Amino acid sequence: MRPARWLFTSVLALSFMFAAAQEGPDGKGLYDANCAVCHGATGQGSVGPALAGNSNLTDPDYHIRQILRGGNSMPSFAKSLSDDDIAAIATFERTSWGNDFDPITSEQVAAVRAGGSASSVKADDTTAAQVSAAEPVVVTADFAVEPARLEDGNGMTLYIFHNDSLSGTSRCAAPCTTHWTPLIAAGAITAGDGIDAADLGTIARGDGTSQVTYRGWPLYLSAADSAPGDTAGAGTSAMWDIATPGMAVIALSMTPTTVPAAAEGGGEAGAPATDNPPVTPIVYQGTYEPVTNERLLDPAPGDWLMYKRTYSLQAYSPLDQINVDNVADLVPVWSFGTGVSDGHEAPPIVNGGLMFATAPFSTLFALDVRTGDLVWQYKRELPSDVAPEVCCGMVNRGVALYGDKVYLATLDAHLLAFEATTGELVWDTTVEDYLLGYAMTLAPLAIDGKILVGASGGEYGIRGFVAAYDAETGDLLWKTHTIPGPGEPGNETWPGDTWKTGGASIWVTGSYDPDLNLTYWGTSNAAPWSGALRPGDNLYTASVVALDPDTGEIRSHYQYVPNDTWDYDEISDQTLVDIVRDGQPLKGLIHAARSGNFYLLDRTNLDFVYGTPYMEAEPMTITGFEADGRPIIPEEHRPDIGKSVDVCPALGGANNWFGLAYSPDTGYAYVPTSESCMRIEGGEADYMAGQTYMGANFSIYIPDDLDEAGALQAIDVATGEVVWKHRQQMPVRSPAMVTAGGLVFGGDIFDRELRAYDAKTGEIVWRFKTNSGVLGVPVSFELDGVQYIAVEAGHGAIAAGDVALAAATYGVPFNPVSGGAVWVFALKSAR
Amino acid sequence: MTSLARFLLTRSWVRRNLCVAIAAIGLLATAAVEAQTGPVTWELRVCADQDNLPYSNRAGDGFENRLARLVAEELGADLTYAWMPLPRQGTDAELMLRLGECDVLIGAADGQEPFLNTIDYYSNATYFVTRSDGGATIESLDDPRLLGLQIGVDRGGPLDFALRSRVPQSNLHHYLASDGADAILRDVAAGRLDVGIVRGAAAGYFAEAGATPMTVAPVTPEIDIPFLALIQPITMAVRRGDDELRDLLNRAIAARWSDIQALLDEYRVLRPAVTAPRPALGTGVPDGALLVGVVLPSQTGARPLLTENFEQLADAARRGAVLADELLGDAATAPLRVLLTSAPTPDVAERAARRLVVADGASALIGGVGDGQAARLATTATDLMVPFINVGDPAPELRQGVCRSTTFSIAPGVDDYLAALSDSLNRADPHAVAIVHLDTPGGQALRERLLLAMARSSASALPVHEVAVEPGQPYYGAAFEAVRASGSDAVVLLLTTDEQLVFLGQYEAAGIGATIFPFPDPGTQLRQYYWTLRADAPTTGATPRFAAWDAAVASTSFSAAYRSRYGQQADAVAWVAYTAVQVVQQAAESSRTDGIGLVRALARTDVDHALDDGMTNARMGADHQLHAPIYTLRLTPPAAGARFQLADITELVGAFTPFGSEVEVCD
Repeated sequence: MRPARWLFTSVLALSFMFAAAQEGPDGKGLYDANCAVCHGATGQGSVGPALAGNSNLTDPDYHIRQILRGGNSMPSFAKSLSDDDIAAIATFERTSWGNDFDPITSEQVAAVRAGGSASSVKADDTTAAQVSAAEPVVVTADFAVEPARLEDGNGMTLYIFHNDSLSGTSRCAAPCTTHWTPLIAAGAITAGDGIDAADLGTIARGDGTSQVTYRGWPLYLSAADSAPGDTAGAGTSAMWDIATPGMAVIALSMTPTTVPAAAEGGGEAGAPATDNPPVTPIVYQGTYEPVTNERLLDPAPGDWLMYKRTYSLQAYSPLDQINVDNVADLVPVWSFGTGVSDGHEAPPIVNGGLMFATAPFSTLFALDVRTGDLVWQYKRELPSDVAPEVCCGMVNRGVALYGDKVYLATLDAHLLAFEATTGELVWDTTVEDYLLGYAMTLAPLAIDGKILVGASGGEYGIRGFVAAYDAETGDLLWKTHTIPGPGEPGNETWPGDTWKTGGASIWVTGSYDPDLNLTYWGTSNAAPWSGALRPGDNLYTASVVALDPDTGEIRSHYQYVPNDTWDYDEISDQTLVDIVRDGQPLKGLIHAARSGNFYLLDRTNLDFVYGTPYMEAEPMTITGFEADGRPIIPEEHRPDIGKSVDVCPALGGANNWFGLAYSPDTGYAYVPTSESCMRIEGGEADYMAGQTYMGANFSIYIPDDLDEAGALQAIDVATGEVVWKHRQQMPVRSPAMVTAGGLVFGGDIFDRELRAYDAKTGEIVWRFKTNSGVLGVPVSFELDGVQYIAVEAGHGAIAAGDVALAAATYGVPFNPVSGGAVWVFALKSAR
Repeated sequence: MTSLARFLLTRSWVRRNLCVAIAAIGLLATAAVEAQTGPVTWELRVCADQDNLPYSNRAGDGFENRLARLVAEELGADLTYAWMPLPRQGTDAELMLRLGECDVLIGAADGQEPFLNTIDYYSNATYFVTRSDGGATIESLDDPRLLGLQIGVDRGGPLDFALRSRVPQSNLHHYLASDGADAILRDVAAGRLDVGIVRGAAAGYFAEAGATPMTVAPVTPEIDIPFLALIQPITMAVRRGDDELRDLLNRAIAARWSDIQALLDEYRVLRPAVTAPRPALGTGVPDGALLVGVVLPSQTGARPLLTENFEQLADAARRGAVLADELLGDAATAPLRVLLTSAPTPDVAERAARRLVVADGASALIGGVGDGQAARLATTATDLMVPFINVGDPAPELRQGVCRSTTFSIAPGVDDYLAALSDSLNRADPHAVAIVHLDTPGGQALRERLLLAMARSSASALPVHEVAVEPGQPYYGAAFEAVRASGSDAVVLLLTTDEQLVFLGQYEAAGIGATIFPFPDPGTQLRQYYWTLRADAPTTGATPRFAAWDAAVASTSFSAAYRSRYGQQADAVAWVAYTAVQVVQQAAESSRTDGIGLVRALARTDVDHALDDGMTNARMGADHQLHAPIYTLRLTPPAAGARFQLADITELVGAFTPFGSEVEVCD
């Protein structure tokens, strides 16, 4: 960053002086009484977010509104505090602990309370730019100067802001408005000399006022001008220019066609969330049985109510209408085009006659299971600057159901609740600030009235967490960081402040054991990528952690990769299995690791039972295990700054996000597998909020001696032995699902197929070519006595790149077809 | 091909590409509306910083602005700008150039992927800057005094890395491009830094201008261990594939060398001495050679950009044109040279076309691959009074004879393809035919033309069943049922390239016996596509296919030369582009070689054009369509053990020479 060191010191000093001069004792007193319990005595944050250095405070409207309305588990103070009180508290917060934001007056609070904006009130700075409400606004062309320019009725020069052309809305909000005053039309607008009235118009500003436009350009006055004819504003920024009578009509046809769901507009970057886009509710005629705890704990055989059907994440359906003998008669019933490109990874989740399928760009469809008709849909209006904060594809992995609601986690790190049958948005909670690199792609997990989520961001130096929200209200119940803070056990595995930006993000749904009352979550790589920059084990990165779902307390952990320096996220399924091993029953947890090892742990305390390689490329990074389960990693497998090593698998992993399926009938885990290696060298990285924080050089390859880079394989969990392995040239980068009918279903990115394998032998017994690469979680459910198979198809996301690499390696032409769809299949005879 | 791009580019590239594309598009809109280009001018469009003196700003005060003006003046061009985002980030310049927002970057380090660089016109060296009253004059990175000083340096550059191994991290202060070129200097002047390390341009421009006296000394050593070069040659950069523009700029840089150096002096750009280049001006172009401009959206980087944008087709066409230059260029009569340009969008295609004709003196244009490119090149060529030879677009609107008097097509048009398809259908003699078409105005129009073609080619009327489908349908089950129910034993597939692939993949499994007659959308004539189809639909893929050319056509000088030069067999579009150059040359042999002369000669319908297939004499029709054969092929089944050979996967079944359609009334 810039020489913040010195500037910061001087700002600190200034702000303390400022606070002393401006602040009566009541601001601090009121803060201590009302706010400190959540935000900390020094604004450092605890239950509530930190206020020291909180960039949201830049916007006085947001700040005042937050105090007035509350939300996100913060109470509303609209009734209990007066405008004076709130102004005092807000001003104290804005000028303390190093904050240096403009103070707030009680007039401004009153304006926001009345539904207006703080920026419409200027307590002590009445400039010629002020436009009183009653006066008509005049826009005049002045041809006496060269070049001709636009002026207001007082002869003050008018300006335009080039950023406004991106959306046709005003991109100038606080603090921009302290330098540029929007030309507000309170009364009539008059076209002065040389102006065609048809060129004048207004747009609505975020605070509800109307701003005058000329040829579509919102007009502003500059605070730098003090007298008619001044043009001092022109020199202050390259993004501002004097408005001219001849300027071109603002071009608004700039819809980004490559981002189907990210519509233009959608409010100012970094501003608090604007109103949500309209949903189009259609009356759903069927009944909707609420999703209760009981149904989630013990689903009917025909239910598929969550990510991988059960809390165990087994992706196992006890239905057997479709089986090895009749699967040849499996045919499509309907397909639904999502109209969205990029990787479709979600399972279509079904309750009765309603299906909830998500698509990339945080898009959600409610479909009529019987017909495939759209009941309602929600397309998130993502901020245009969200894409840089998402590392690996604008994907979504599905919804959670609870009660009569549907829960969606979005790429801009919000958690949303919808009424299931109408699509009405019930609440919208900000989980994190997406501009810091937090993005949410996972399916939320509903446990006993709580909705559990985490966020990705391991490439952006975030500090990972699991958080639980009240399913009814969206209030935050607890939030547990997956990197311990100072004083917490494990913090000593991080040197200095590295724990603050160490990764351990959460981006695949966790599992849950109701008997042990523990929920298990896998964590991502450590950040930055080079382990040499943060010597130590770096708990709990590349680990599984067991949390008490009532409190969020971490009860136990196992670290798959200490001091990760290979980008080995171990986020995928931590699948719960109850098996008999060596004659003893075992409450097991299995995991097909990104590092290429298959693990069995004892889930009561996360003790290591075994780890065994399930890939073939060599040398594997992890060469074995100590007796206590700590992986053995030779020094020559560890890259460093200036030291490159060749290890397998490559950072994409032998398995990535898709995990495995487990059948209690066979006792086998079905593991999609791919082979790869990489040459990787450590690199330096500087942390900057919201920027990638990686710093390694790598190249990925498939070893020459491997003719096949992919497999779907069955591993006997009790022994760790591979029972069968269906090899194929292309990597298998799609999730699997297994049924009591003895079938394993899984997709293929390369040839666009959904396939069924014999669960006992691995023989392919059915295949169907869809519209696009299949990388979604297949599901099975029953309705009206018919068993269905459903899956999403839609090529994209970074994992699809592994297939492109294999195609290039083997010299196979690869013509991916883009386009997303939900597919539903059933037996011909059953319908 | 987006997946390939997404993966193989680094993650950070991937995460940025969408947003930058959007930002770039937005900025284009805000860029000032610059001078209108008329028929006799051309536009030199430069991507530049809005506020980054001494390099560039919106007012044009930077030395890169002045350099751009100088080059534009030398070349007789209208200079326009596309402004880069504020703050500019790492890949913005690359993306804007590749997306076609502009054609030139003025200051680019030599050898930086994926650009094509001109000769370098100065070297970017770095300098230590200290306050003159501060005592310490630092001249070497290895000066031990650096250990105790506060040092400012650009983040992530070679100097940053050279320093990280030498001085404590806490003494290093990193600056970003968005901080402004003078940020380090200001902090040195204000005493916040002891030493600044800055590029020569900023060192000279700001150090002497400021109120605080500064001492400036070149950084040594010039090469850090092991290979870290601390001096970068600076060039102008164009898109990969824009060879012609690179050559033009090289000529301008050489011609104005002393002016450029004087300008750098005026801005006090500190730099090591560089000797004047001697670019090979006009080497090897025979006197009076015919210059043929090629305008194609070929691939501009190691991976394709955001979407499938015809890059495969364009690259194949480009190879065909290059081969024509090689084989035909030095002919005794009408020697020619092919000038290659890269045009990702129709706007860029128009700029390239104007430049080719106005600045280079090209008298014919070849292109027409990619959405909207043929239509734009057709109107531009009319403005410029040169012939446009369409090698990629089958649209009927381009084949209006005198109504589009300067447009000629070597690529077969829709009507020619449908005539060949109807002829083949006729020979198959089905009982009934099902027509699968899009339920869109375009789809309806294509169906109408098919019905006309069928009526022309067949004496007896065939029962026809129509099956309308939606664009981009995931599943064609209902269409299959309609085909089955109709009892048709032939299906004409009027879908786009990708839709055909999805349809045929599912049709294979649906077990319907009816033979498929696919419309040969240009994308379906790529050999890569053949391979995928053969794997996806081994049975239905083996039914007749139609193409403007195939490697299975009897061995010719073209096929042999193509194979030996590129190590692969030619795609149809490569043959078409090769033939386009050849036909222009044949026209030039019998006429003046200016644009009007060529238009007249090409429009003659009574001249035989001998093609390089060794057997065909083709004639231009009144519709300005060259009536060359359309081939009927069959994909051979995959041979065991030879899974990935692209060679010999087709068999030639027949050939059909269309007669052309009637010329429609001018719009």
